Amino acid sequence: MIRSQVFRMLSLRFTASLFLLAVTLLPPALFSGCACFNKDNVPTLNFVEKHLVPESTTSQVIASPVVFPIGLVALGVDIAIVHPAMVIPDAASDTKDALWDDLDWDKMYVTECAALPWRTFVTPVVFTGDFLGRAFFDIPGKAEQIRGKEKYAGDLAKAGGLVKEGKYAEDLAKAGKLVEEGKYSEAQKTLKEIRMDSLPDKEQQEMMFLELKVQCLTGDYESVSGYYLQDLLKSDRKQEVFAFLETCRKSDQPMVRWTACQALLAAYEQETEKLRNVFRELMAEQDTVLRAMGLRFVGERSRVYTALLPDLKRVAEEDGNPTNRALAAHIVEQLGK
Amino acid sequence: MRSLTLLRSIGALAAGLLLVSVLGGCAVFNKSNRRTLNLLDKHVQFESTTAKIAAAPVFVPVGTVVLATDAAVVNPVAVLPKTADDVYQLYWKPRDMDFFRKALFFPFCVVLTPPTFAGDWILRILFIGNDND
Repeated sequence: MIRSQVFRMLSLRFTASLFLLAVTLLPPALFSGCACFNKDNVPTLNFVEKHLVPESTTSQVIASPVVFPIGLVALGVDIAIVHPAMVIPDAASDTKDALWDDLDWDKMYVTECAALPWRTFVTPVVFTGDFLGRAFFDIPGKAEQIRGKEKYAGDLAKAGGLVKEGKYAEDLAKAGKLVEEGKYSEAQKTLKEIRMDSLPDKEQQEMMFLELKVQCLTGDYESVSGYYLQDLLKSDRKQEVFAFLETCRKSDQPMVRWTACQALLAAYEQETEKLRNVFRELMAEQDTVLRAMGLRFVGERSRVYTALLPDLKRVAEEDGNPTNRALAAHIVEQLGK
Repeated sequence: MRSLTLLRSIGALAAGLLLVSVLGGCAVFNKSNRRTLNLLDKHVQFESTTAKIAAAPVFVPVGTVVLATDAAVVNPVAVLPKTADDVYQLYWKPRDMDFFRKALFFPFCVVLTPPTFAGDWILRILFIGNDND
Protein backbone atom coordinates (compact mmCIF):
# COMPACT_ATOMS: atom_id res chain seq x y z
CA MET A 1 0.00 0.00 0.00
CA ILE A 2 2.68 2.42 1.09
CA ARG A 3 4.85 1.25 -1.79
CA SER A 4 2.17 1.99 -4.36
CA GLN A 5 1.55 5.45 -2.84
CA VAL A 6 5.26 6.22 -2.97
CA PHE A 7 5.40 4.97 -6.53
CA ARG A 8 2.42 7.11 -7.51
CA MET A 9 3.93 10.18 -5.86
CA LEU A 10 7.25 9.58 -7.53
CA SER A 11 5.66 9.07 -10.94
CA LEU A 12 3.54 12.20 -10.45
CA ARG A 13 6.59 14.17 -9.48
CA PHE A 14 8.49 12.77 -12.42
CA THR A 15 5.69 13.72 -14.82
CA ALA A 16 5.44 17.20 -13.30
CA SER A 17 9.20 17.69 -13.55
CA LEU A 18 9.19 16.51 -17.13
CA PHE A 19 6.32 18.87 -17.98
CA LEU A 20 8.07 21.79 -16.30
CA LEU A 21 11.28 21.00 -18.13
CA ALA A 22 9.45 20.79 -21.42
CA VAL A 23 7.59 24.05 -20.78
CA THR A 24 10.83 25.76 -19.81
CA LEU A 25 12.93 24.39 -22.64
CA LEU A 26 10.45 24.30 -25.49
CA PRO A 27 10.14 28.02 -26.27
CA PRO A 28 13.90 28.69 -26.22
CA ALA A 29 14.50 25.51 -28.19
CA LEU A 30 11.94 26.54 -30.80
CA PHE A 31 13.23 30.08 -30.99
CA SER A 32 16.84 29.00 -30.95
CA GLY A 33 15.98 26.96 -34.00
CA CYS A 34 15.71 30.19 -35.93
CA ALA A 35 19.24 31.28 -35.08
CA CYS A 36 20.82 27.83 -35.35
CA PHE A 37 19.58 27.29 -38.90
CA ASN A 38 22.20 29.79 -40.02
CA LYS A 39 25.58 28.12 -40.40
CA ASP A 40 27.34 31.25 -39.17
CA ASN A 41 25.71 30.84 -35.76
CA VAL A 42 26.84 27.25 -35.04
CA PRO A 43 30.66 27.17 -35.19
CA THR A 44 30.99 24.09 -32.92
CA LEU A 45 28.62 22.09 -35.09
CA ASN A 46 30.49 23.28 -38.18
CA PHE A 47 33.73 22.10 -36.57
CA VAL A 48 32.24 18.68 -35.78
CA GLU A 49 30.84 18.41 -39.29
CA LYS A 50 34.16 19.33 -40.85
CA HIS A 51 36.38 17.08 -38.78
CA LEU A 52 34.26 14.15 -37.60
CA VAL A 53 31.61 13.52 -40.24
CA PRO A 54 32.79 11.32 -43.11
CA GLU A 55 32.04 12.40 -46.66
CA SER A 56 30.28 9.40 -48.17
CA THR A 57 26.70 8.63 -47.20
CA THR A 58 27.54 5.01 -46.29
CA SER A 59 30.27 6.09 -43.89
CA GLN A 60 27.94 8.70 -42.45
CA VAL A 61 25.33 6.02 -41.74
CA ILE A 62 27.95 3.74 -40.15
CA ALA A 63 29.43 6.56 -38.05
CA SER A 64 26.05 7.96 -37.05
CA PRO A 65 25.79 6.21 -33.62
CA VAL A 66 28.93 8.10 -32.59
CA VAL A 67 28.67 11.26 -34.65
CA PHE A 68 24.98 11.94 -34.06
CA PRO A 69 25.20 12.36 -30.24
CA ILE A 70 28.37 14.42 -30.64
CA GLY A 71 26.55 16.62 -33.16
CA LEU A 72 23.63 17.02 -30.78
CA VAL A 73 25.96 18.04 -27.96
CA ALA A 74 27.75 20.47 -30.30
CA LEU A 75 24.42 21.97 -31.34
CA GLY A 76 23.40 22.30 -27.70
CA VAL A 77 26.71 23.98 -26.86
CA ASP A 78 26.22 26.36 -29.79
CA ILE A 79 22.65 27.23 -28.81
CA ALA A 80 23.28 27.57 -25.10
CA ILE A 81 26.78 29.01 -24.93
CA VAL A 82 28.64 29.83 -28.12
CA HIS A 83 25.97 31.75 -30.06
CA PRO A 84 24.75 33.75 -27.02
CA ALA A 85 28.38 34.64 -26.31
CA MET A 86 28.86 35.62 -29.94
CA VAL A 87 25.94 38.08 -29.88
CA ILE A 88 27.05 39.91 -26.74
CA PRO A 89 29.17 42.48 -28.64
CA ASP A 90 26.30 43.19 -31.06
CA ALA A 91 23.79 43.56 -28.19
CA ALA A 92 26.22 45.90 -26.43
CA SER A 93 26.74 47.87 -29.62
CA ASP A 94 22.96 48.15 -30.20
CA THR A 95 22.45 49.34 -26.62
CA LYS A 96 25.22 51.89 -27.03
CA ASP A 97 23.77 53.10 -30.33
CA ALA A 98 20.27 53.38 -28.87
CA LEU A 99 21.06 55.01 -25.55
CA TRP A 100 24.60 56.30 -25.30
CA ASP A 101 25.33 57.85 -28.67
CA ASP A 102 24.78 61.47 -29.65
CA LEU A 103 25.06 62.85 -26.11
CA ASP A 104 25.44 66.59 -26.24
CA TRP A 105 26.96 67.67 -22.94
CA ASP A 106 27.91 71.08 -24.28
CA LYS A 107 24.57 72.43 -25.47
CA MET A 108 22.13 70.21 -23.55
CA TYR A 109 23.87 69.77 -20.23
CA VAL A 110 20.78 69.78 -18.00
CA THR A 111 18.82 67.51 -20.35
CA GLU A 112 21.67 65.01 -20.43
CA CYS A 113 21.90 65.20 -16.62
CA ALA A 114 18.16 64.53 -16.36
CA ALA A 115 18.38 61.65 -18.83
CA LEU A 116 21.37 60.06 -17.11
CA PRO A 117 19.44 58.10 -14.44
CA TRP A 118 16.92 56.94 -17.06
CA ARG A 119 19.60 55.85 -19.47
CA THR A 120 21.33 53.97 -16.67
CA PHE A 121 18.09 52.33 -15.58
CA VAL A 122 17.02 51.35 -19.09
CA THR A 123 20.43 50.12 -20.27
CA PRO A 124 20.25 46.61 -18.74
CA VAL A 125 16.66 46.21 -19.93
CA VAL A 126 17.51 47.17 -23.53
CA PHE A 127 20.66 45.06 -23.44
CA THR A 128 18.76 42.01 -22.13
CA GLY A 129 15.97 42.37 -24.67
CA ASP A 130 18.40 42.83 -27.53
CA PHE A 131 20.59 39.99 -26.30
CA LEU A 132 17.64 37.57 -26.02
CA GLY A 133 16.34 38.61 -29.44
CA ARG A 134 19.74 38.10 -31.01
CA ALA A 135 20.32 34.81 -29.13
CA PHE A 136 16.98 33.33 -30.22
CA PHE A 137 16.55 34.78 -33.69
CA ASP A 138 18.87 35.06 -36.61
CA ILE A 139 19.37 38.84 -36.57
CA PRO A 140 22.31 39.93 -38.68
CA GLY A 141 25.01 41.60 -36.63
CA LYS A 142 27.39 44.31 -37.76
CA ALA A 143 29.85 41.72 -39.07
CA GLU A 144 27.11 40.13 -41.21
CA GLN A 145 26.01 43.54 -42.48
CA ILE A 146 29.55 44.28 -43.58
CA ARG A 147 29.75 40.84 -45.18
CA GLY A 148 26.43 41.58 -46.97
CA LYS A 149 27.79 44.85 -48.32
CA GLU A 150 30.96 43.11 -49.46
CA LYS A 151 28.84 40.47 -51.19
CA TYR A 152 26.80 43.17 -52.94
CA ALA A 153 30.00 44.92 -53.99
CA GLY A 154 31.23 41.53 -55.21
CA ASP A 155 28.03 41.02 -57.22
CA LEU A 156 28.45 44.43 -58.80
CA ALA A 157 32.06 43.71 -59.65
CA LYS A 158 31.00 40.34 -61.06
CA ALA A 159 28.35 42.00 -63.22
CA GLY A 160 30.92 44.52 -64.39
CA GLY A 161 33.31 41.67 -65.16
CA LEU A 162 30.64 39.81 -67.10
CA VAL A 163 29.98 42.90 -69.17
CA LYS A 164 33.68 43.25 -69.83
CA GLU A 165 33.78 39.61 -70.86
CA GLY A 166 31.04 40.48 -73.26
CA LYS A 167 28.32 38.29 -71.78
CA TYR A 168 25.66 40.96 -71.22
CA ALA A 169 26.93 43.04 -74.10
CA GLU A 170 26.37 40.05 -76.41
CA ASP A 171 22.91 39.37 -74.98
CA LEU A 172 21.92 43.02 -75.22
CA ALA A 173 23.12 43.15 -78.82
CA LYS A 174 21.14 39.99 -79.53
CA ALA A 175 18.01 41.48 -77.92
CA GLY A 176 18.52 44.71 -79.89
CA LYS A 177 18.76 42.73 -83.13
CA LEU A 178 15.62 40.77 -82.28
CA VAL A 179 13.76 44.04 -81.67
CA GLU A 180 14.90 45.33 -85.07
CA GLU A 181 13.74 42.12 -86.69
CA GLY A 182 10.36 42.47 -85.01
CA LYS A 183 10.81 39.26 -82.97
CA TYR A 184 9.48 40.90 -79.84
CA SER A 185 8.62 37.88 -77.73
CA GLU A 186 12.11 36.40 -78.30
CA ALA A 187 13.67 39.77 -77.47
CA GLN A 188 11.65 39.90 -74.28
CA LYS A 189 12.85 36.42 -73.35
CA THR A 190 16.48 37.44 -73.79
CA LEU A 191 15.93 40.64 -71.82
CA LYS A 192 14.29 38.69 -69.02
CA GLU A 193 17.36 36.49 -68.74
CA ILE A 194 19.76 39.41 -68.35
CA ARG A 195 17.52 41.55 -66.13
CA MET A 196 19.24 42.06 -62.79
CA ASP A 197 19.61 44.96 -60.39
CA SER A 198 23.37 44.87 -60.26
CA LEU A 199 23.78 45.48 -63.98
CA PRO A 200 26.04 48.52 -64.48
CA ASP A 201 24.28 51.79 -65.34
CA LYS A 202 24.98 51.89 -69.05
CA GLU A 203 23.87 48.32 -69.65
CA GLN A 204 20.88 48.82 -67.35
CA GLN A 205 19.77 51.78 -69.47
CA GLU A 206 20.26 49.81 -72.67
CA MET A 207 18.15 47.00 -71.24
CA MET A 208 15.41 49.39 -70.10
CA PHE A 209 15.35 51.14 -73.46
CA LEU A 210 15.03 47.82 -75.28
CA GLU A 211 12.18 46.81 -72.97
CA LEU A 212 10.47 50.14 -73.61
CA LYS A 213 10.90 49.63 -77.35
CA VAL A 214 9.33 46.19 -77.12
CA GLN A 215 6.46 47.54 -74.99
CA CYS A 216 5.79 50.41 -77.39
CA LEU A 217 6.15 48.40 -80.57
CA THR A 218 3.85 45.69 -79.28
CA GLY A 219 1.33 48.25 -77.99
CA ASP A 220 1.78 46.99 -74.43
CA TYR A 221 0.52 50.29 -73.04
CA GLU A 222 -0.17 48.84 -69.60
CA SER A 223 3.56 48.26 -68.97
CA VAL A 224 4.95 51.35 -70.60
CA SER A 225 4.31 54.00 -67.98
CA GLY A 226 6.26 52.10 -65.35
CA TYR A 227 9.40 53.21 -63.63
CA TYR A 228 11.60 52.23 -66.58
CA LEU A 229 10.29 55.19 -68.54
CA GLN A 230 10.84 57.60 -65.64
CA ASP A 231 14.38 56.28 -65.13
CA LEU A 232 15.15 56.54 -68.82
CA LEU A 233 13.89 60.10 -69.00
CA LYS A 234 16.34 61.03 -66.25
CA SER A 235 19.24 59.32 -68.02
CA ASP A 236 21.63 60.44 -70.77
CA ARG A 237 19.44 58.68 -73.31
CA LYS A 238 16.51 61.05 -72.77
CA GLN A 239 16.66 62.53 -76.29
CA GLU A 240 16.89 59.10 -77.89
CA VAL A 241 13.84 57.97 -75.91
CA PHE A 242 11.80 61.02 -76.98
CA ALA A 243 12.84 60.55 -80.61
CA PHE A 244 11.75 56.91 -80.45
CA LEU A 245 8.39 57.79 -78.87
CA GLU A 246 7.77 60.48 -81.50
CA THR A 247 8.45 57.89 -84.22
CA CYS A 248 5.98 55.52 -82.55
CA ARG A 249 3.34 58.28 -82.62
CA LYS A 250 3.44 58.12 -86.40
CA SER A 251 2.96 54.36 -86.49
CA ASP A 252 0.11 52.98 -88.59
CA GLN A 253 -0.94 50.76 -85.68
CA PRO A 254 -3.37 52.53 -83.33
CA MET A 255 -2.21 50.73 -80.16
CA VAL A 256 1.43 51.64 -80.82
CA ARG A 257 0.40 55.27 -81.34
CA TRP A 258 -1.61 55.19 -78.11
CA THR A 259 1.25 53.58 -76.15
CA ALA A 260 3.63 56.28 -77.29
CA CYS A 261 1.09 59.03 -76.59
CA GLN A 262 0.53 57.70 -73.10
CA ALA A 263 4.28 57.65 -72.44
CA LEU A 264 4.61 61.19 -73.76
CA LEU A 265 1.65 62.44 -71.71
CA ALA A 266 3.42 61.04 -68.65
CA ALA A 267 6.78 62.46 -69.72
CA TYR A 268 5.52 65.98 -70.53
CA GLU A 269 3.64 66.49 -67.27
CA GLN A 270 5.67 69.62 -66.55
CA GLU A 271 5.94 70.95 -70.13
CA THR A 272 2.59 72.53 -70.91
CA GLU A 273 3.00 73.27 -74.63
CA LYS A 274 4.35 69.85 -75.54
CA LEU A 275 1.72 68.20 -73.35
CA ARG A 276 -1.09 70.12 -75.06
CA ASN A 277 0.30 69.25 -78.50
CA VAL A 278 0.32 65.54 -77.72
CA PHE A 279 -3.19 65.73 -76.27
CA ARG A 280 -4.56 67.72 -79.23
CA GLU A 281 -3.12 65.25 -81.72
CA LEU A 282 -4.52 62.38 -79.70
CA MET A 283 -7.96 63.99 -79.70
CA ALA A 284 -7.68 64.43 -83.48
CA GLU A 285 -7.39 60.64 -83.91
CA GLN A 286 -10.07 59.07 -86.13
CA ASP A 287 -10.38 56.10 -83.77
CA THR A 288 -13.05 56.85 -81.14
CA VAL A 289 -11.63 54.25 -78.75
CA LEU A 290 -8.18 55.89 -78.80
CA ARG A 291 -9.69 59.25 -77.95
CA ALA A 292 -11.67 57.63 -75.15
CA MET A 293 -8.54 55.96 -73.77
CA GLY A 294 -6.74 59.29 -73.84
CA LEU A 295 -9.60 60.97 -71.98
CA ARG A 296 -9.70 58.19 -69.42
CA PHE A 297 -5.94 58.46 -68.88
CA VAL A 298 -6.14 62.22 -68.39
CA GLY A 299 -9.28 61.91 -66.27
CA GLU A 300 -7.59 59.53 -63.84
CA ARG A 301 -4.82 62.08 -63.31
CA SER A 302 -6.88 65.23 -63.85
CA ARG A 303 -5.12 67.13 -61.05
CA VAL A 304 -1.80 66.74 -62.88
CA TYR A 305 -3.24 67.82 -66.21
CA THR A 306 -4.94 71.10 -65.26
CA ALA A 307 -3.13 72.70 -68.22
CA LEU A 308 -5.35 70.66 -70.52
CA LEU A 309 -8.54 72.37 -69.30
CA PRO A 310 -9.12 74.53 -72.46
CA ASP A 311 -8.54 71.52 -74.72
CA LEU A 312 -10.85 69.36 -72.61
CA LYS A 313 -13.57 72.03 -72.83
CA ARG A 314 -13.22 71.99 -76.62
CA VAL A 315 -13.49 68.18 -76.68
CA ALA A 316 -16.55 68.38 -74.44
CA GLU A 317 -18.22 70.56 -77.05
CA GLU A 318 -16.84 69.37 -80.37
CA ASP A 319 -15.95 65.67 -80.18
CA GLY A 320 -17.89 63.57 -82.67
CA ASN A 321 -18.72 60.92 -80.11
CA PRO A 322 -21.33 61.68 -77.42
CA THR A 323 -19.66 59.38 -74.84
CA ASN A 324 -16.33 61.14 -75.31
CA ARG A 325 -18.03 64.52 -75.03
CA ALA A 326 -19.66 63.41 -71.76
CA LEU A 327 -16.34 62.03 -70.50
CA ALA A 328 -14.54 65.30 -71.27
CA ALA A 329 -17.35 67.32 -69.68
CA HIS A 330 -17.06 65.18 -66.57
CA ILE A 331 -13.28 65.82 -66.34
CA VAL A 332 -13.86 69.57 -66.85
CA GLU A 333 -16.39 69.47 -64.03
CA GLN A 334 -13.91 67.62 -61.79
CA LEU A 335 -11.21 70.19 -62.51
CA GLY A 336 -13.62 73.02 -61.80
CA LYS A 337 -14.30 71.75 -58.26
CA MET B 1 9.12 27.36 -6.23
CA ARG B 2 11.79 27.59 -8.92
CA SER B 3 9.21 27.78 -11.67
CA LEU B 4 7.56 30.60 -9.75
CA THR B 5 10.86 32.46 -9.62
CA LEU B 6 11.32 31.85 -13.35
CA LEU B 7 7.82 33.14 -14.07
CA ARG B 8 8.50 36.19 -11.91
CA SER B 9 11.74 36.87 -13.79
CA ILE B 10 9.96 36.57 -17.14
CA GLY B 11 7.21 38.87 -15.84
CA ALA B 12 9.74 41.42 -14.65
CA LEU B 13 11.51 41.31 -17.99
CA ALA B 14 8.22 41.75 -19.89
CA ALA B 15 7.27 44.67 -17.64
CA GLY B 16 10.69 46.22 -18.21
CA LEU B 17 10.36 45.86 -21.98
CA LEU B 18 6.84 47.34 -21.87
CA LEU B 19 8.12 50.28 -19.86
CA VAL B 20 10.89 50.87 -22.40
CA SER B 21 8.47 50.75 -25.31
CA VAL B 22 6.06 53.13 -23.58
CA LEU B 23 8.86 55.50 -22.67
CA GLY B 24 10.16 55.22 -26.24
CA GLY B 25 6.99 56.91 -27.43
CA CYS B 26 6.93 59.38 -24.56
CA ALA B 27 6.24 62.93 -25.58
CA VAL B 28 9.11 64.38 -23.56
CA PHE B 29 11.58 62.44 -25.69
CA ASN B 30 10.81 65.05 -28.30
CA LYS B 31 12.86 68.18 -27.70
CA SER B 32 9.97 70.52 -28.50
CA ASN B 33 7.99 69.06 -25.57
CA ARG B 34 10.66 69.93 -22.97
CA ARG B 35 10.18 73.65 -22.71
CA THR B 36 11.61 74.27 -19.22
CA LEU B 37 14.50 71.92 -19.74
CA ASN B 38 15.37 73.62 -23.05
CA LEU B 39 15.35 76.96 -21.23
CA LEU B 40 17.75 75.61 -18.63
CA ASP B 41 19.95 74.08 -21.34
CA LYS B 42 20.24 77.48 -22.93
CA HIS B 43 21.47 79.11 -19.72
CA VAL B 44 23.47 76.31 -18.07
CA GLN B 45 26.52 75.49 -20.15
CA PHE B 46 29.97 74.51 -18.94
CA GLU B 47 33.18 74.75 -20.89
CA SER B 48 35.43 72.34 -19.02
CA THR B 49 34.81 68.66 -18.37
CA THR B 50 35.81 69.15 -14.69
CA ALA B 51 33.04 71.71 -14.23
CA LYS B 52 30.54 69.38 -15.92
CA ILE B 53 31.46 66.52 -13.58
CA ALA B 54 31.51 68.79 -10.52
CA ALA B 55 28.07 70.22 -11.29
CA ALA B 56 26.51 66.84 -12.06
CA PRO B 57 25.48 66.02 -8.44
CA VAL B 58 23.42 69.20 -8.49
CA PHE B 59 22.06 69.05 -12.01
CA VAL B 60 21.15 65.34 -12.14
CA PRO B 61 18.41 65.79 -9.49
CA VAL B 62 17.53 69.29 -10.72
CA GLY B 63 17.26 68.03 -14.32
CA THR B 64 15.18 65.05 -13.22
CA VAL B 65 12.75 67.31 -11.34
CA VAL B 66 12.54 69.73 -14.27
CA LEU B 67 11.99 66.87 -16.72
CA ALA B 68 9.22 65.53 -14.48
CA THR B 69 7.71 69.03 -14.30
CA ASP B 70 7.80 69.30 -18.08
CA ALA B 71 6.15 65.92 -18.42
CA ALA B 72 3.59 66.32 -15.65
CA VAL B 73 2.75 70.03 -15.68
CA VAL B 74 4.13 72.13 -18.53
CA ASN B 75 3.45 69.74 -21.39
CA PRO B 76 -0.12 68.88 -20.30
CA VAL B 77 -0.94 72.60 -20.10
CA ALA B 78 0.83 73.39 -23.36
CA VAL B 79 -1.09 70.79 -25.33
CA LEU B 80 -4.52 72.03 -24.15
CA PRO B 81 -5.11 74.44 -27.09
CA LYS B 82 -4.11 71.78 -29.60
CA THR B 83 -6.40 69.26 -27.92
CA ALA B 84 -9.26 71.73 -27.99
CA ASP B 85 -8.56 72.35 -31.67
CA ASP B 86 -8.61 68.59 -32.36
CA VAL B 87 -12.05 68.30 -30.76
CA TYR B 88 -13.26 71.40 -32.61
CA GLN B 89 -12.06 70.01 -35.96
CA LEU B 90 -13.71 66.69 -35.23
CA TYR B 91 -17.11 67.76 -33.92
CA TRP B 92 -17.70 71.51 -34.05
CA LYS B 93 -16.17 72.74 -37.30
CA PRO B 94 -18.93 74.30 -39.49
CA ARG B 95 -19.93 71.76 -42.11
CA ASP B 96 -22.15 71.88 -45.13
CA MET B 97 -25.19 70.34 -43.42
CA ASP B 98 -28.84 71.26 -43.25
CA PHE B 99 -30.65 72.00 -39.98
CA PHE B 100 -32.06 68.47 -39.65
CA ARG B 101 -28.65 66.82 -39.88
CA LYS B 102 -27.04 69.35 -37.56
CA ALA B 103 -29.79 68.76 -35.00
CA LEU B 104 -29.38 65.00 -35.39
CA PHE B 105 -25.64 65.13 -34.73
CA PHE B 106 -25.73 67.76 -32.00
CA PRO B 107 -26.47 65.52 -28.98
CA PHE B 108 -23.80 63.02 -30.09
CA CYS B 109 -21.26 65.81 -30.43
CA VAL B 110 -22.15 67.10 -26.98
CA VAL B 111 -21.90 63.67 -25.38
CA LEU B 112 -18.70 62.70 -27.18
CA THR B 113 -16.82 65.96 -26.65
CA PRO B 114 -15.63 65.36 -23.04
CA PRO B 115 -14.36 61.78 -23.55
CA THR B 116 -12.73 62.69 -26.87
CA PHE B 117 -11.09 65.70 -25.28
CA ALA B 118 -9.84 63.57 -22.36
CA GLY B 119 -8.55 60.79 -24.63
CA ASP B 120 -6.84 63.17 -27.02
CA TRP B 121 -5.35 65.13 -24.15
CA ILE B 122 -3.89 62.00 -22.52
CA LEU B 123 -2.57 60.82 -25.87
CA ARG B 124 -0.93 64.19 -26.48
CA ILE B 125 0.51 64.28 -22.95
CA LEU B 126 1.97 60.80 -23.20
CA PHE B 127 3.02 60.42 -26.81
CA ILE B 128 2.23 63.06 -29.39
CA GLY B 129 2.91 66.34 -27.63
CA ASN B 130 2.15 69.43 -29.67
CA ASP B 131 2.82 67.84 -33.06
CA ASN B 132 0.07 68.04 -35.61
CA ASP B 133 -0.33 64.31 -36.22
